[in-house]
Amino acid sequence: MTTEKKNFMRTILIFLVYLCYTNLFVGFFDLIGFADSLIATFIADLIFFLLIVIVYRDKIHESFVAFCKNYSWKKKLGTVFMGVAIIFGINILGGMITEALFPNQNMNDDNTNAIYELASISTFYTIFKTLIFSSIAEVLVFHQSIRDVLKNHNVLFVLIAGLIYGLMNIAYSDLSMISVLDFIRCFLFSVVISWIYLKHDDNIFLIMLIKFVYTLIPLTILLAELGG
Amino acid sequence: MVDLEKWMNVLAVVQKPAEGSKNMNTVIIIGVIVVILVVISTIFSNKRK
Repeated sequence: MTTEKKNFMRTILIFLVYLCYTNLFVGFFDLIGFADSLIATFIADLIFFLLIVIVYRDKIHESFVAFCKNYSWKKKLGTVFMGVAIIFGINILGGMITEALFPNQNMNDDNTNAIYELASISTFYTIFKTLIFSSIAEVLVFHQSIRDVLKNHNVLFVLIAGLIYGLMNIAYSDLSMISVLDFIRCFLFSVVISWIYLKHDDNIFLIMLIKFVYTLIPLTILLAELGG
Repeated sequence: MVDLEKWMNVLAVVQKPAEGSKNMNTVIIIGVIVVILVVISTIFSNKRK
């Protein structure tokens, strides 16, 4: 089997597993009489996380080494903070547009609301899901796996990764006009991440770090609100 | 008045509900679209090489 075919099979398999694993695990735990669906979901996320890290361990290691060797401290900090600032800029711009179009509504997207709900039940799982899972596993699924099949087509990679990330972010929410705006916001988020990724020689570790730092801010606000 | 502060709360994470989605049909349709997108873009990319 050629490398291209292998990458294609791997990407398709990753997406199929990503789309089904939560339901499969919760269903299986339900079948064996384990009623706590939250723990079942956590175990499912943990297993998926470990598997995807194992699958991409060489790529993660290679980009980590490149990040340490090729970047000065100033460049490291500058790149990460520039990425985080652009993402915040997009969120705030998206928020302004949404609020102008739909005034007096709860503007948090359904994913953020679901995390707020989760945080009131389990702080540990919330931290794992937002900081670790989203920064590592989601970046591997939505960027690295797509890049593997679109290696020589930068524009197509940016568009497809953005479309898929946007679609997956609204898949589990109640679809409405606000979902369309959520989709656009997530699409732009992914475009920025993909653009930084391409600008820095496909360095997956760098965008993991940017997503980690970005997520740290809303997560801190969330935990502070719960603590208060 | 636009409240910029609340947009600092937006988390970039796909959270799947433990009890399953409110609308599984949407998830299935989007899942199929996602897989089709990957397949079509790969085919397109290989043809343009």
